[in-house]
Amino acid sequence: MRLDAPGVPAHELYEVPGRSLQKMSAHALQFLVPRRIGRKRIRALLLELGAEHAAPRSSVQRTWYDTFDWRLYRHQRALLGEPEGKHKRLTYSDRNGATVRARTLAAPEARFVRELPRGTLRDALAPLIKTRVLLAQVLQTGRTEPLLLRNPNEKTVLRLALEDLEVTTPGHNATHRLQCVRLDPVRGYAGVLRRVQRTLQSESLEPLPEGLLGHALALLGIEPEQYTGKVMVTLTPDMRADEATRSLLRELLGIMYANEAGVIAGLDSEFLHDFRIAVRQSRTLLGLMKRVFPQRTVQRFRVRLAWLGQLTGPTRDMDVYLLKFPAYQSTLPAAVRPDLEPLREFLQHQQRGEHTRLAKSLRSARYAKLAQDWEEFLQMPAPVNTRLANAARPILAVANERIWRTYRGVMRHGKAISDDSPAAVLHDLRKRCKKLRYLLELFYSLYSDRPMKQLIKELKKLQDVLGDFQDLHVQISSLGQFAAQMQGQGELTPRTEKAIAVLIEALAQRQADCRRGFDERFARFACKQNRQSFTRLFSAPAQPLV
Amino acid sequence: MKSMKVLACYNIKGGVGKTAAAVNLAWLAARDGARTLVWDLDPQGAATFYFRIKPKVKGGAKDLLRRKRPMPDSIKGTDYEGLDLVPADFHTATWTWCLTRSSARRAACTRF
Ligand SMILES: Nc1ncnc2c1ncn2[C@@H]1O[C@H](COP(=O)(O)OP(=O)(O)OP(=O)(O)O)[C@@H](O)[C@H]1O
Ligand SMILES: [Mg+2]
Repeated sequence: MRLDAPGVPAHELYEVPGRSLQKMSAHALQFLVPRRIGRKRIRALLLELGAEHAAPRSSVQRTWYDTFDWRLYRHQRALLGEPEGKHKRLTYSDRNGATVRARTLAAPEARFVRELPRGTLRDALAPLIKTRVLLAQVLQTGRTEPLLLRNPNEKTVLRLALEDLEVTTPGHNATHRLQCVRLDPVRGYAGVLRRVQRTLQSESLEPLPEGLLGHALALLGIEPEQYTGKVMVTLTPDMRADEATRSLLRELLGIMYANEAGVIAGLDSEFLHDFRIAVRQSRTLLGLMKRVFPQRTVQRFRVRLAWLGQLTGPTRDMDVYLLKFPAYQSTLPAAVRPDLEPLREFLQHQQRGEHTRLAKSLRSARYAKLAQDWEEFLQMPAPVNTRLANAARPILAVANERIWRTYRGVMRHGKAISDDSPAAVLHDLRKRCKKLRYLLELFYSLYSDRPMKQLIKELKKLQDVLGDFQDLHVQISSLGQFAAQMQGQGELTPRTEKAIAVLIEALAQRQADCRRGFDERFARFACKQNRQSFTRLFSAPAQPLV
Repeated sequence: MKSMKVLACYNIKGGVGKTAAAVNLAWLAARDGARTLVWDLDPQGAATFYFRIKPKVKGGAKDLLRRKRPMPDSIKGTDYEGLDLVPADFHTATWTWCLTRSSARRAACTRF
C-alpha cells in the first residue's frame, strides 16, 4: 500500500500551502528549556506523556532569510531555509512560525523571487520583497530529536522536537546557545496540543510567543524595525532650524552608511536606490534651507555631494533599464521577444562596468574624506550666537516658508505648461515636484498626519506622470545610443536592430499618451481642495514662539 | 475555486480497489504540491480508516452539506504533509440527500 511508504522523495520540487491553525496560534508552539532543567528531564517528561521517537537525533542547519530592510518580518512573515539533498527547503510562515503558509524546494543559491520555483511560495513573496535580494539574516545550527504523539489508533496527533541550538548571524560572531521544545500541531487535534502546552508550562518552560526567530533576534540584539530607508526623525516645531536640519541630514547620512556595503557588493539595486535618494534629499535640504548654515560651507558641500550624485548616476541608469527590461520585452510581439536578448546582455555588461567603477569610487580616499568631513560638520553643536538669519528661528516657521515657496513654484510653472511646451519645461517641473516631495517627507513630523498623507499622495500622482514622461524621453534617446554602441561593437544583428526600433516606437507612443495625460493630472493636483490644504498647512505667517 | 477536473474510479463490483485508488491519488497530488483534501462520503468510511482517523463529523455531515458549519471545523490533518481529510460520518440518511444534490456538495467545497 503506497500510503505506508515513508514520506516524500527528497529530490522533487513540491510545496504545500498553508494549514490554517489560527485557533492554535494564540498559544506558543516553541518553548525554551531553562538551563537548570535541562534536556534530559524534558525528554523523560515527554516520553512519560506517551511521546515516541520519530527519527534518530540529527543535525539541523536553519537559515532565516529576509531582505536588508526586513520586509517579510515587517509583514509578520518569516522565511526559513534548510538544506535538503542538493536543494534548500523553504518554509514560509507567520513570523512566530505558528502557521505554515507555503513550502517549496529551491536551488541552494536562489536569492531573488525570479530564481524561486513558480508556485504559491513565490507568489506570496513577490509582492512583499519585489526586486530585493534575500539575505541570510539569522542562522541556527544544532541537533534535533524528532518525537511524535499517537493516539490509540496509531494516528499521529502531534509532532514535537527537542532541540539543542546555537543562534548567530552570518556577519557577527556573537553566538547564543539554547535548548527548546518545538511543537508542530496536526490539524484537528487541538486537545492534545493544549495538554502538552499546559504540561510544558507547568514545568516552567518559557513559552516563546514570538517564536524562535523572535527570540533569536532579541538574543542577538537585532531590531528589524529600525531601518526603513526613510527619515524617521521626529522634529518639534520650536527646535532651532539649524539643529533640526542637522538632525535630518545626520539621519540621511545614516541611511547612506547603512547602504554603502550593499552598494559596493552590488547585492540588489535597492541599496543604490536608497543611497541615491539620501544623497539627493541631503542636497535638496542644503540648497533650500537658506541662511541656516554659513553660505561658503554649504556651497562646498553641495559641490562635493553633487559629485557623489554624479558618481552613482550611471549605475542607477543601467539598473533601471534592467529593471524595465521585462516590460520592454512584453511590449513586443511574443515572436520577436528573443531578438531583444542581446540588448539585455549589452545592458548587463554596461551595468557591471559602471558598478565596478562606482564600487571603486566608494572605496576611494576622496569618498572617505567627504564622508568624514560631512559627518564632522553634522556633529557640530549649533553656535550660541549666529548672524545667519534663519539659523536660530523655529524650524516650523522656516519649513513653512520653504515648502510654501517650493509649492508656489510648482504651481506657477505647472500652469504655464501648454500643449506645445518642450520636454525640458516638463523636466523642470518634475525637478520642482521632487524637491517639494522631499520637503514634505522630511518635515512630515511637524504637521498633522492625515492632510500630509493626502497631499503626498496627490503630489505622487503628478510626479508619476511627469516621471514617466521624462523617463520615456530619456529611454527613447538612450536606446538609440545603445543600438549604435552595439553596432560599433559588432553585436547588432538586423533582427535585434528591428526589435529595438519597434520598442522605441512603442515607447514614443506611450510618451505621447503620457503627455496628453499631463493637463488632467495637473488640473487635479491644482484642485481647490489641494490648494486650500497647502495654504492652510504652510502659508501661515511665522508666529513668534513665546 | 477555479475549474475542477473530475476523475472517477468506478466498478460495479465491490472490493476491487476504488477507495485505495482514490486515496493514493490524493497522496500523490499532495506530494506534488497540490493542497489536497479527501472528503470521505462513503458511509462505510473506508478512506477514513486508511488514515486511522475516527469516522466522526461535528454536527454530522448533513450540517456540512447544508453549510450550517464551516468545513475547516471538520478537517483533520493526516500523517502526510499537505493532505487533509474530512472524515466519514455514519449517519446514512445523509447519503440519499447528498447524492441527489451535487450542487450542495460543490457549495460546501468552496468554503474550504
Ligand atoms: N492494488 C492493490 N493491491 C493489493 N490489494 C489492494 C489493492 N487495491 C486495494 N487492495 C485491497 O483490497 C481491499 C478492497 O479495496 P478498497 O476498499 O479500495 O475497494 P473498494 O472498491 O473501494 O471497495 P468497496 O466496494 O467496498 O468500496 C482492501 O483491503 C485493499 O487494501
Ligand atoms: Mg470503497
